[in-house]
Amino acid sequence: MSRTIGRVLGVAATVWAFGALAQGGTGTAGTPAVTPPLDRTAELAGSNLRASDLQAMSMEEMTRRADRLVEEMDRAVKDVLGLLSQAVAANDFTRINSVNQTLTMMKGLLRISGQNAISLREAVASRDRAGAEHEFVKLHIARNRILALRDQAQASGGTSGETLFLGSPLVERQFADDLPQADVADGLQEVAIDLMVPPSASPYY
Amino acid sequence: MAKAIRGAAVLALLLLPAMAVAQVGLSLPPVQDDEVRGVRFGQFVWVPFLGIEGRYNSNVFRQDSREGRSEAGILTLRPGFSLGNPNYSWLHLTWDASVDVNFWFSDDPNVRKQGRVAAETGLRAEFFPKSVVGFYIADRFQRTSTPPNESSTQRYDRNFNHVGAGIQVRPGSALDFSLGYAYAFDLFDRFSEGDRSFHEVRLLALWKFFPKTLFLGDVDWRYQQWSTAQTGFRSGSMPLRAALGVRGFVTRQLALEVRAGYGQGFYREGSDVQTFIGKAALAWMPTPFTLVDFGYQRDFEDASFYGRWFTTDSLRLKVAQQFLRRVTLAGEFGWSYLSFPRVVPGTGDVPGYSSVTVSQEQRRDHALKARLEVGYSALRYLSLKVGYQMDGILTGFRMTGTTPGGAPLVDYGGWWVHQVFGEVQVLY
Repeated sequence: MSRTIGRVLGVAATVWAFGALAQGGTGTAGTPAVTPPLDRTAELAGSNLRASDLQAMSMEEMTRRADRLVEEMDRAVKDVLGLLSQAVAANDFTRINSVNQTLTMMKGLLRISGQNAISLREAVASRDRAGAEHEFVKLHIARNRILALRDQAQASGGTSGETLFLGSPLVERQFADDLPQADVADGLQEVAIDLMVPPSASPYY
Repeated sequence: MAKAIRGAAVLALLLLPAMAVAQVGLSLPPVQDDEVRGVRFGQFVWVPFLGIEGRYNSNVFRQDSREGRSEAGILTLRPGFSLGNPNYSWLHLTWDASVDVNFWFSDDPNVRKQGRVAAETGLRAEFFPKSVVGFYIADRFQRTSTPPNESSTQRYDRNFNHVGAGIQVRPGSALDFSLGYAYAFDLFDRFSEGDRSFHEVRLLALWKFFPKTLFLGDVDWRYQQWSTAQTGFRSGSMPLRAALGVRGFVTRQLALEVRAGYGQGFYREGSDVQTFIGKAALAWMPTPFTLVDFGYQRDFEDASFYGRWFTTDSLRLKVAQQFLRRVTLAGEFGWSYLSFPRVVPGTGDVPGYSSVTVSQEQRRDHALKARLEVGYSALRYLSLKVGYQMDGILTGFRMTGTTPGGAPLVDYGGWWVHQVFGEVQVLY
């Protein structure tokens, strides 16, 4: 029962994860590609691509790179499948559930990316540069998301042999500007020292 | 810090606390030059400095006007440093040290024979401060140069050291327990009757039930011994203080600390002190660069040299303002009411007197302090400070008697001291 619920939640998360991509118009068979947005600032922001790099890239280069992106995503999915096999072998049900959910999202993204790669080739064939760039950016976003999901799957079910932490943890603390920064415990650990001298009008001068 | 007020009763003038720190634990931000000062190696910042201070003291020997007063000018050379790592990981270190070399200028030859060197250093190292279990070591050493209570070549120069270690347990982010042990000695150069030592155990429990508000429990116990006990004046004790309280921000600008508890001296002889101890302090920071702090505190203290103990009821007001992250103006006023137990000196108790009477069998003193200070961080390498300070004991207490030769003697308990000072500090 819980596995079923988990899968339903996983599918829902997948839909949410690439909803933006789907809204961008991956294009189903026989439908024309949606006109790409003129301003790609927001789109590029999620893809780790620079506009200048994209503009300098030929359409053929774009095709070759897109193929490599799809291969990279495919390897990531296979890695997670391997994790699933290990979890099953170890009878680690918590981890099986967690990896399964992640895998569902990755498979959905990989399937859509395959469609994006085909759309990219169609755009290149028709020398539609704007359409090609649009598909290429979507592939980049999907690749980044899939790699993040692979990391998530490796860390799922607690720290394990696949989880590796390098360097110092990054802790971000957010305060409103007008909140006091002082630590209220400051000074409480300090030693109070009272050195008194013999007072006036006492047996001591 | 707040405890230091108790010591102000007899005003060890060179030991007065820094003014920028308030009773509730709030302080003004550092001046802008502090951010770039120091030699950095790794996460550590070392700030060496050399200060030259000129000071006028209106009453070096803390005497009543009827006893005559000795004025003095004091030139002090003050080299020192501070070392710390504010962005720490497994070790949090703070270490500061300074040495005062004093040159006394006065018409009174006894003033010119006062102590030349004073020093102070404090070290605290916390290991694994961000872990569930950590420990610390700490040491504070002070050598003071303190004149006596009359014009003489006697000195109350002393060496005090307090060294301790403890364990800290933090189960969760909100709880912090600290259990420590310390040993201290207090040795005078020329006044062995005043030598003492004590062992100290302290348990401090903090619970941050809100991010900026904590509940605290504080238990402190000492086992104190004197090298030379004297009936009625000083005796061994085991003072215990236990208090519960709350400290934190009520609003974004208003913080308070309230604590209440019980204290007992456990003196080996004579009457004992058993009293309520507590504190109520309020700090208001209407701007990040303005601090107003007002508080009341009741405590008891070892009287050390008269009556064995006294209780204090203290009020304190501090106001500080920083301008342009360079200029700091601070003013402080404090008043303490000191209540001693009943003491009737007998024959032989007071050296130099063949017979002695006191005006109050239960001595009552009012200790007053006022201070005004302006600091100016002129450059990264240069800081200036000028100020005025007034300290005094207002009391009708006096000792009267006769010498073995029959000459009358009167020793007054009250005194006033005015000081004006200015310091130029070169920092790296």
